[in-house]
Amino acid sequence: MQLTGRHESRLGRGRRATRAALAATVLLGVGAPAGADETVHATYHSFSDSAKNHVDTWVMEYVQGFADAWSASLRGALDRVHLPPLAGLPGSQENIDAITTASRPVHSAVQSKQDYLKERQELTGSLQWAPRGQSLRASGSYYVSRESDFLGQQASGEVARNWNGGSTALALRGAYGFDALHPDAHLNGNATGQSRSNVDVTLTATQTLSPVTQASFGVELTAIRGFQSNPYRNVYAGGQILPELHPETRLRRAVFAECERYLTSRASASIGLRYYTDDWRVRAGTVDVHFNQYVGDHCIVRYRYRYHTQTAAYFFRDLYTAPGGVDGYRSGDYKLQDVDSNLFGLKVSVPFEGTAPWLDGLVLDLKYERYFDSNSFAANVLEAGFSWPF
Amino acid sequence: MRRWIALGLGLAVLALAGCATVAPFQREYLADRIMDPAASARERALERHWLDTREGASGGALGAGGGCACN
Repeated sequence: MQLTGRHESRLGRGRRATRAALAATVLLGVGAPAGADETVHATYHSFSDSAKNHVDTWVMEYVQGFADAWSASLRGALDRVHLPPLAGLPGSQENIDAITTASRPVHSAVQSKQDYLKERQELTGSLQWAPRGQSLRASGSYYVSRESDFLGQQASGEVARNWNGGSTALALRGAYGFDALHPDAHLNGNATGQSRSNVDVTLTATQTLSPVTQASFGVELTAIRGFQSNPYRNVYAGGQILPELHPETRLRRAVFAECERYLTSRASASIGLRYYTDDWRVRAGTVDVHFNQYVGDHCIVRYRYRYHTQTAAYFFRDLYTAPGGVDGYRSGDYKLQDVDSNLFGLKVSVPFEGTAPWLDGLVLDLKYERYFDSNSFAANVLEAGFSWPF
Repeated sequence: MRRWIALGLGLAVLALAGCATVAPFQREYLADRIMDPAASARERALERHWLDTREGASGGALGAGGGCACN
């Protein structure tokens, strides 16, 4: 890993902040009043892909109920990202492709031939009001994500109400996010600080259709304004190596629906559908199917399949013939190209019930998923975690 | 934009129309652990984080994460 003193200092501060947050999460749990509603969730998440990128994520969340109607939660997450050495020399066509598959800054030939390590710290605090016997509930949260070159923050609020004895529910969520980017030194890169903001509104309705069937559907709108390119990604356009340049506004729209049904033989099945469009002319459809089955008295096995298809953004090209790209925009972002993807998953949940009293409610989870797409990308996702109310 | 708002409101009205009112004592199956979508909310948040780095059609909430090396 090659880091400057400034970066090491930043990373050091970030590590200390994350450790402090995780310690506070644990201490809150230790110091909570006896008999209160408390739950601890912890998860380890491992992501490895065919480009030899690897991300380890540790998450811990503590939820504390108080004053009957209120609960508060604190969630800390730490990402440790490991990227392999780049294949070619900095600035070569080969590396332009390599950079597009992993947004690492490159400031020298020597550094490009070394592993790159990066950390991301995330902290979310939430407060929820949900009085028993009342149909109205509300919640609010604040989220902050920090990297050596990035600081993202988001404040959100949600109001929900039930009708028909709880058979119908409507939830409205609003969020405002603001991100600041301070790019690290990078060949052909621009180290100017950048920012962007987003406003997100989601409306979700849930309806009980029968004693064994429920459905939900909704709409989500997101408006983003500001810098939306990758400061480390270069594009080969008109014989030149130029920085990626995306439009500074984007309006994203999605409608989604999900139906879930309890089946005979202690099983359930669900299907989720999502349709998405935006003003960069990306259109996408997603189908997500789950099948849950009890094995034995308590153990649950979940099988999953997800299919996603999307079209390319109007300004995305594999090769740009002119430096101006398309309408002045150039992109090397693989997320903005045509893609079809498949995901297969298996998850096992083991609740500890009826064993020892102090273990009651503990649930252990183990999950494996395999993801692959039409652009020869594949990834393995492994997740292990537990939830423990006490 | 107006079409999307109208579609959202239409869906909400359909939901509010209510296909069935299920009494609390009839909710045994709906309350079962394998029927609880909220149980997977944390899992979805983690998944969204890495899916956002491969697919450009996510909702966009919870921070775009533009500076992340996993992006």
